[in-house]
Amino acid sequence: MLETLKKLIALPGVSGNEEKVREFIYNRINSYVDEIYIDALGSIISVKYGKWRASGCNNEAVPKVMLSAHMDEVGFVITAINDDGTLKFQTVGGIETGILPGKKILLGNNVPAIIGCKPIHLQEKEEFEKRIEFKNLYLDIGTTSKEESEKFAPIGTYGTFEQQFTILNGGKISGRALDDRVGCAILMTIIECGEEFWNDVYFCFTTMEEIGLRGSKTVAQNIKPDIAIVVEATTCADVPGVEEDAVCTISGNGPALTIMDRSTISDKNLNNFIIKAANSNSLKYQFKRLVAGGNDASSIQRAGEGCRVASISVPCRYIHSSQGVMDKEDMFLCKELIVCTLRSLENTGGKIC
Amino acid sequence: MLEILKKLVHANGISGNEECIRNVIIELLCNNVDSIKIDNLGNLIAFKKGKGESSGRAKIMIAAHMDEIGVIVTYIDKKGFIRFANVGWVSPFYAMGQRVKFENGIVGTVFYEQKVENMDKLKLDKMFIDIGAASYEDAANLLKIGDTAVFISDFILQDNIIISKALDNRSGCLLAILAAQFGNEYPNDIYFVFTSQEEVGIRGAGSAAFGIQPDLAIVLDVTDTGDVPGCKPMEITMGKGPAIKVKDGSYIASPHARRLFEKIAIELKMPYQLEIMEGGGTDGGSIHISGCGVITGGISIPVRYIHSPSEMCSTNDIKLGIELLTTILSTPLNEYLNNV
Repeated sequence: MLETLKKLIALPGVSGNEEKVREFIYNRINSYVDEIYIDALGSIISVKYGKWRASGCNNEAVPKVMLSAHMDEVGFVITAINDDGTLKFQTVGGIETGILPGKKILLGNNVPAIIGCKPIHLQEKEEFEKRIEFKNLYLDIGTTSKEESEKFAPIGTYGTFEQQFTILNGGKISGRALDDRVGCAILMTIIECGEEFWNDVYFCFTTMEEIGLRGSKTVAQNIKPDIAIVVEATTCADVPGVEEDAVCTISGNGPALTIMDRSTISDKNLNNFIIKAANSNSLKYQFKRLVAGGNDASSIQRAGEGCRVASISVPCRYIHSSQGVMDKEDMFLCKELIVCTLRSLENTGGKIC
Repeated sequence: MLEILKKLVHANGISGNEECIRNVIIELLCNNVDSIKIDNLGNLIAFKKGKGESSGRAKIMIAAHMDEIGVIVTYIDKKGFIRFANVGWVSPFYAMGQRVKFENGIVGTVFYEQKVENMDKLKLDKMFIDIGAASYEDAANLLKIGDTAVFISDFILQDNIIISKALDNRSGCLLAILAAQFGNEYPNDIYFVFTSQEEVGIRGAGSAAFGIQPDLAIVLDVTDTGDVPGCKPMEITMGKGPAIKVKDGSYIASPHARRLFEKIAIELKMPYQLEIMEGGGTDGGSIHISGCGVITGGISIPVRYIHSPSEMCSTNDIKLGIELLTTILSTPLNEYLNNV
């Protein structure tokens, strides 16, 4: 799974521009699934049919399960080119400006660019005491004219933080786009291990989550699942300077279940079913302890006639920055928990309640 | 009628945790409707078939949200104090000093960290619930992360004024329940939908409407008033009759619905008001754009101090609201809706 994650992180895939990630995932999984296609918004919808089909069970009674991870990451897009060759840009998805100055990003076909701003030596006191404003940032690709820059990075070119998958001490790994390549890696691993489950399981890799949970809306409308589990990376603030009650999740304490975030109240019955699977298999887990953030579960829950949703997330420090940090074990346990939940469905005729 | 309302406000049902209120409503309705269904989002859908030829019956959806605002446990600290987040719009000022009651009956006081210097900037994350626990272990034995609590408030009837929590929207639920219980047969097929999770973003109603695809939706909820000291100017006055929705922050009522409701109110010689609520949202916001779109209107009960534990409304407005609603439902609407 770590190798898969490393390869996924190496591919650029800013919201709306996920081709390379999509191609990689599609080519890897398509021989393991029964059906696979790409929808109009670029999301991959694949399905592994369930064991119920061979058992002579009634179709109506076996709930459709959807597992979902988003392929896109937060990043940048070029909006204008200045006469001196520097580039104006905007963020795609939520990125805090404070972390940007001095970072190296990669544009288009790996054109390196540095995020520049006025050096501190030349800033007025008021300027450097407050948070840098976006309008004071620009990209420097080393060119000296507009014409030159247009050859390397025309308007509309996408950019990503430079990828650096690194293994840290203590079982931690770091890299850009852990949100949500970790979810993609987990789903790919489950598909490729070849296990069959009772229910039909739809493995979906969605687009444009970071800019408004968009890809998942049409995917869910298409599939009309009864049960959906979103596999994500989530806020983890177990770091210095954060009050205990604002920590949200702790890295190393296992995958995190969401009770409620800003855009979804998880289905209680589904959460309880997942918890039961965790306990029966002695898997550690934690709860997300802050009502913060939102993910694809929100649009999936409300698609069509509605769906029972839950989220299982890997705690990720410094999420939405150039490099997140997560715990290897949390990732493995997240995958285990999903698999154990799917296996438990066999004992209940595929239902959670 | 007031006994039913009292029962409804005392049945807890925070967004996403509506089991208790849903069961109370099922008990009140089950003998008056033809079928009852609970969907994946917890919406309660009670269907009452109309009389006459099926091709001549319009499909009407009544939507009244059954959830209420409250708080949810996010963290228990070392000394047993409870940190919480809001479920729905909860004002720190309305919550300050109030009592909350959890599902298992435990009661706590809501208070703030007194080191907060500027009360103007008071926020819920600088507040906590004290259940009187001596330590983390004591508190953790009683409560866990994710437990929810409602604000405690007595139901008071004083002349023709009601003071209580959760008039938003148990008063709307009351109208729907009484309309279901009224008479035996309507000329229209009616889906009485008690929606879930309205307070956290009008989440349940859209899915319910998608499944039903009604010809007309009538949203029953509360509206703000413009009749208390220092408030924003608004034409609604408590006691001057039910309000017919023109618009709120989440949808513009269909003129076809609004005109129909006004016509019927005038024919009944009933006092009514027109509602334009600048902010706020109601289930109409998600219903009107569900599927291929739904003609949606609203009837609202004027309520003062919405989202506080001491909301206030007039029994006259409720009685007239029921009369207006049942008269609308008793009117064969198929032809009218086909011709709009």
